[in-house]
Amino acid sequence: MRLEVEGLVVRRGGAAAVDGVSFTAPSGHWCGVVGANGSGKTSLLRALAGRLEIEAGTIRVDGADRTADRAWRARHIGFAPEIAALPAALTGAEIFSVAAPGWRDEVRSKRLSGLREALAFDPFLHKRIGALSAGMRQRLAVFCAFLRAPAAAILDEPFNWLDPVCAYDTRAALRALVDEGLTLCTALHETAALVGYCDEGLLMSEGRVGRMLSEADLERGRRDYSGFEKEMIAVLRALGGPARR
Amino acid sequence: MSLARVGGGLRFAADVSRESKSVAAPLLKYDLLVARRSFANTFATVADRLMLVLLTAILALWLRDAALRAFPPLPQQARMLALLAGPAAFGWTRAAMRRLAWFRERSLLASDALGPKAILAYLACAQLPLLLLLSAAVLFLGARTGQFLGPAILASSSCGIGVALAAATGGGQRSRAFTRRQRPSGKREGSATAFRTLLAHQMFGAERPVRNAAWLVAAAASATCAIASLAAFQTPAPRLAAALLPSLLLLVGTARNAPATVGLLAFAGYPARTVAASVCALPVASLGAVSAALFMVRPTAWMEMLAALLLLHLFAALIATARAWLSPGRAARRVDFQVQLELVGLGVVAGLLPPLALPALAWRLWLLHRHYSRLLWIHG
Repeated sequence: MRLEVEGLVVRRGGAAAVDGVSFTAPSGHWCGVVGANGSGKTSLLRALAGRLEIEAGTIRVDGADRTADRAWRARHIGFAPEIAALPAALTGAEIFSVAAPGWRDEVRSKRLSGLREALAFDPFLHKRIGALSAGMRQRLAVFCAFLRAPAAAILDEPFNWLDPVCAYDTRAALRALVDEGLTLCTALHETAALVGYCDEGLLMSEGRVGRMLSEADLERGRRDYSGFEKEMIAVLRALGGPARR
Repeated sequence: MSLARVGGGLRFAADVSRESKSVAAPLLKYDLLVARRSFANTFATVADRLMLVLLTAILALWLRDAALRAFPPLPQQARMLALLAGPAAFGWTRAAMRRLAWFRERSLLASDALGPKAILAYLACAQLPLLLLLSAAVLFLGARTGQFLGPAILASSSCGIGVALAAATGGGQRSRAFTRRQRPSGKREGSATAFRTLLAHQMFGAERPVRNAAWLVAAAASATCAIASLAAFQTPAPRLAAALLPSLLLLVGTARNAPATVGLLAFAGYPARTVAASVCALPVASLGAVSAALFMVRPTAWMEMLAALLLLHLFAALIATARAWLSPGRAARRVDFQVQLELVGLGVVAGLLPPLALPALAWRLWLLHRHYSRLLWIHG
């Protein structure tokens, strides 16, 4: 699925949370969104996934204009809910069944076997969400995005709360899915994940794209991560507004 | 009305209901599942279930007792029903609209909640419990008095106004996000922070909550005086009901609880009295403004109006305090559910043993105060 975003504006509470963002994510492409807290990452991703209204701009999916069709985007682009939105009274299995009635087939599918192994939620799938740790909830939330076999998925800070092993395996499993053709957009707070796994990066500030990182930029980062990280931190500090300067 | 027409109407209603259910099925299924599981979890232990059985038995006895009591004249009952139906429909519809907004923005079922048909169907189905409750009340009144039409018309019009008002105000849903430019940087200390934070939540996240609240209170006071002075309301009961309406709308409209914020305030060391004073500020200000306005205008029977307004505001302040003190460590729905249980319990005590009502109220408030204060030990 090819996502083309042009001049996207999303207003929340009267202010532009996303202000004229443009980028393209082709099929089999992982786009990482990095920025300060409150820079508009979540609003951008939610708007792409049909969760927020768009005030201006266009979203094209495989060439077709889907800007006005929030329901289509919500149905066809996988989206991981934040863990606070998972109801404490239900079990993971119940949440999966609500999200996608045919979830058992999808969980058993060969395509998702790697991700399922990485997230390893079987031991607590039938326990109440209220009894689970934040990391366990995050594992279920990440998998929710893939229950309807989407060609594109949007994950907002998917590695938060995951233990190091699970985070490592999940990154690798997601990369494998991207290599098989999945279009993935994730908000990230680690430059290591951006450099190690993404094909493109957006550095966001004040709702705008402060800097685009091409595949060549990220390749350079893979060769000299320490230098790249210092450069990225300097850029983010400069973009991050008066408090960071 | 012929039987054929009634039959046709019922078939139409059944078709509409079937279509509504099919369009909104995933959302309703999800809500029912969460409600069922929450209920089962709330009453998971034998002691909880025993308490539920006891409460149900007491409620059934109270209802039987109420049914056997001498019945007041129908107009009074019908007006009371209408007075309750409007705010109930207003609050219920707003809650359903907020729930829909949550489905659209944050749930897994966003695609199901974004279709116009699904939205209408969900809102229609969400009204069913309220309509059933109102129908039961109308049938109860009708069975006792032999008159169905009057109460039905009054209740349904009041209900319609409540739904229309909720739809016109957009369900009170306002998407809000802080960007770095907007985020407040100044640190405020003391009880003013608690007051401002909770008032801002009651005022739907307004930038200037105090100013907005002052406008609302002034509008409610002016409306009360204008309505109370109208010649159209010359009989006591309608005059009283109409005079209560602006304050009732104000109190219901701003009765928003913020369990997460209150929990944070408790954790940050704000004492129970500060939180209670903050959530009661609006009812108290409203009572002061309405009383002053009534005293200046002095319409017919203004003292009775004042007494009724005092009771109404006192009730609102008590509910707000109970909700706030119950909030730390609980989700919003659980807080509301427990407050409802407390009210039912107090209502039963007041009905069966009136002299014990005030001590029971004081006891319950003390327990809620203790629940809130337990979190303050961290701060010595």
